[in-house]
Amino acid sequence: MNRFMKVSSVLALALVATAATAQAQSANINVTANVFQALTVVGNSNLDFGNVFPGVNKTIGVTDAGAGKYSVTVGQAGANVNLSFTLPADLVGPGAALLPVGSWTGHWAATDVTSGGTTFVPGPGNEAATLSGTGLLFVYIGAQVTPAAAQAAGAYTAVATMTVAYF
Amino acid sequence: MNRAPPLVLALLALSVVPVQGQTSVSGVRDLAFGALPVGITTIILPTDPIKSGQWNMTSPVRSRVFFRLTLPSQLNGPGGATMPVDFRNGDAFILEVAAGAQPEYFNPGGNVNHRFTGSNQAIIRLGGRATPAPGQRSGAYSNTVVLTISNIQ
Repeated sequence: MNRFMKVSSVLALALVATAATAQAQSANINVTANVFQALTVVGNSNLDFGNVFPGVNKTIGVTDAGAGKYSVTVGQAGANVNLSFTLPADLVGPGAALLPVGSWTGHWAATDVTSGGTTFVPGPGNEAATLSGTGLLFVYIGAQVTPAAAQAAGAYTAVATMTVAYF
Repeated sequence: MNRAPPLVLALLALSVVPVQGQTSVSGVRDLAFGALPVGITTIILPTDPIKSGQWNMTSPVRSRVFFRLTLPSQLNGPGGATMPVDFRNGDAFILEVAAGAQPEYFNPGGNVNHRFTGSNQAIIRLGGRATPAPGQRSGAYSNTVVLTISNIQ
């Protein structure tokens, strides 16, 4: 075998060895999730305007005795939640008479108080709130009714719904 | 006497350039489902810019990289609790970092190969879905996804 052939053989062996040395590489990421305590929301007290007189507007504020109250009684400690409301435009009375209601007001806090927390305007949009260190939240609402001068006498009612969701 | 021209031998030597040392991959972001409501399936799309998982891969242009993902079937939580996770065809893509590049979606449970054409960099994104049971124990759950490069050409 001449010198040239010897060199060729050595080079071929080196090329084969190089092609066989590709090694696996790897990299990790984590998959994470946080399961929060399921929420329990309670309607504690009705928004009660009491006696209303024709042609005389009446307002119940969040600090008044007739304010409506909701509470989150079970939730993830310290979690962020969105509050949203489905509110009536009218209370419905005798013979389908309508009593307009509006000018909604709201207050939420991690403790059962009606001041010193966060005031807001209840509505269909999200109001961000934070549960207490024990997963609680207290929400009060008020509004104003505007009876007409010829408003039919009788009892009027409607439903106001609060929805709470983690975000 | 047969003699191969020296130039041919030189070309043979240069044609096998080891690219393994020039290919790298790193995990840059977890697949983060975040806060999950119980009893509801939460889906994270691979296009989610915040919650999708992501790796960055670098390899020479014209190289072809073969890789696969090792996926968990569940996340592990407090007190031995588990929560199923699910990965389906189209829950992942590879996208070269180049103007005009389009994502190539793939089945995260299969073997994948990608030829780098427009860039030497690419991102790999992973989405998925998780379904906490109605009585799922609350707390933090996690597991690991491994991207392994098995061959480079």
